[in-house]
Amino acid sequence: MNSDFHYYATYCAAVLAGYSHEEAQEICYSAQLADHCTRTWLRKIDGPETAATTQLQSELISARTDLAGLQDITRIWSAFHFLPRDLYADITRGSRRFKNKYRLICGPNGDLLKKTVGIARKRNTLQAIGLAMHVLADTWAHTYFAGTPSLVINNTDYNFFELREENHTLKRIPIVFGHNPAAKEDPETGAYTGSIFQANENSIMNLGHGRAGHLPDYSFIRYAYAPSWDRYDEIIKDNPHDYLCAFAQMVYALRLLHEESDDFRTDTYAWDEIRPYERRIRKILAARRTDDSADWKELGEDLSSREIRPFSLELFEREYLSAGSDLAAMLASAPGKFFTAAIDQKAMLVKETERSGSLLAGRSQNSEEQNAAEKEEKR
Amino acid sequence: MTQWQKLKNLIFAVLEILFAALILVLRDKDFSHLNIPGAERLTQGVVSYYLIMTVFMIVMLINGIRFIVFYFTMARFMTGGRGMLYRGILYTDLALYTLSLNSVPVNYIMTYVTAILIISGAINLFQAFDILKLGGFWQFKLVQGIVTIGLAFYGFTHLHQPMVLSGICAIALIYDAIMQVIAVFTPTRIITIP
Repeated sequence: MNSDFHYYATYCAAVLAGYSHEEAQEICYSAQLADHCTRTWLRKIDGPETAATTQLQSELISARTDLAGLQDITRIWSAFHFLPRDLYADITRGSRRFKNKYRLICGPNGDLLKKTVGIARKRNTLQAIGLAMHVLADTWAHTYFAGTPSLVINNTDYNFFELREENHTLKRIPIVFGHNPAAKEDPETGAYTGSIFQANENSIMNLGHGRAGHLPDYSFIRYAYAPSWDRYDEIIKDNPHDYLCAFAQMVYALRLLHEESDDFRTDTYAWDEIRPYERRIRKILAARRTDDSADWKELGEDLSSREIRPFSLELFEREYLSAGSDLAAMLASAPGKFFTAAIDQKAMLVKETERSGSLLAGRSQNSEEQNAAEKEEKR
Repeated sequence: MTQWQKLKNLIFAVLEILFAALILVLRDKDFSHLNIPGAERLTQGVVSYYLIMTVFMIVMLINGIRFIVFYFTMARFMTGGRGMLYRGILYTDLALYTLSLNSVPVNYIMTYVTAILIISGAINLFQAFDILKLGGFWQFKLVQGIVTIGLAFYGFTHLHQPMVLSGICAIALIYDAIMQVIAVFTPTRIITIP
């Protein structure tokens, strides 16, 4: 998903859920910040590097792909952009390594989503809520890919088709991904860019949906392909439907958080709240373009009758830097609250993956402390 | 590329150059006068030819085994995973084949080397056309492709000469080492869309 959904659509969802304009603005700022909070940026503002929620291309290029490096990448991408649907997925085939990677496949309505919303509820800050909405929305967009470099999970092949409705029939139009980073994508001509095939299992080219290009990030597209992990079975990804579900689920989650309720349930949506706007939303989602920001902004402004400020990293920077070296002021600032929520989210992912028997995201601090204590005791 | 990867690539490039130098030094030596069994075959260029064979075999064998292990542990459960097995079998087979070619006339291995060069050159040309279509800097790949195919053609016209084979391999190694060094010092533009 891009800023059109994470920023403007999240704003719309927050207003529909009952938040004021100012609150909705804070929520969508944080939802969008998840795509900007890199180590490079954190270094610039002297923020905690452990709170990084994404990585720049330049960071990825120089990222290590040994065990520690892979765990670091997995912590970031699985926690914030590819939340695993089922860490205990029943899979009989494959080695333990394969199974662990398979269980990181992202999808909506998983147990970890409940925990993510739980963190937002516990922290009860608009920043934690915004971050949770980013994670929730991405579970719909990034379904079927994992937030760890893996050829056997994330690779795609030439069996990749756009399902395009023409004269009331669905046409299968083959998609051939180009690999030129400078090339512009054009939905009309079907010019899409994806990462290059790398036979190396842990190549960063095989991280997330890189091999499928930006397609999962476009709300208008429906596509069919044979994912690497599904043994030649073709799956269909219906983004207009999934994005609508993401929006309805965001409104539902936000409403509960607004009411300070702990009763978040997966697979529940606020269809009633969005019904008066459903037609308009469906129209925005179906428009064949790579950025729907203008239309979502217009809808948001119609809903709140207020102007939505464009996203700006500088606002966060200024607020954080104005706290100086006062730790309490830092933590009380909007970026400080965002960082706290981000660290909580990462800790939750590590703890849960470790509990499932996988060390792909690393070891949680608690278990490290426990191990150290056990060793000390033995001595 | 991490600092460690850069260092690894630089060390590898230095090793390639040293190996190319060794090939070129041994290339002119004639060991047929030595009093050891089979020495009569060790005429000019033959020792460097054996050296090339051995390294070829080791590298390919390692790669082949790596792909086969990857297939049985991971890739056999993925769509298109058999490609990894075929890759592994092909590499292992080529390695063993290369080993068996030690006692076979030079023209066999020269044919093999030229075939690899032709494929590699053709890939360069395809890449050049791809880049041309997408509007990038295609000239470099085109020249690379033409030079590689030119080398292959030269090798093909000197099938029975180990001296020529050693020369071609030494040139290829030095060229690869230079490319590695350039890659280390050039910022990489790649697409990562997680």
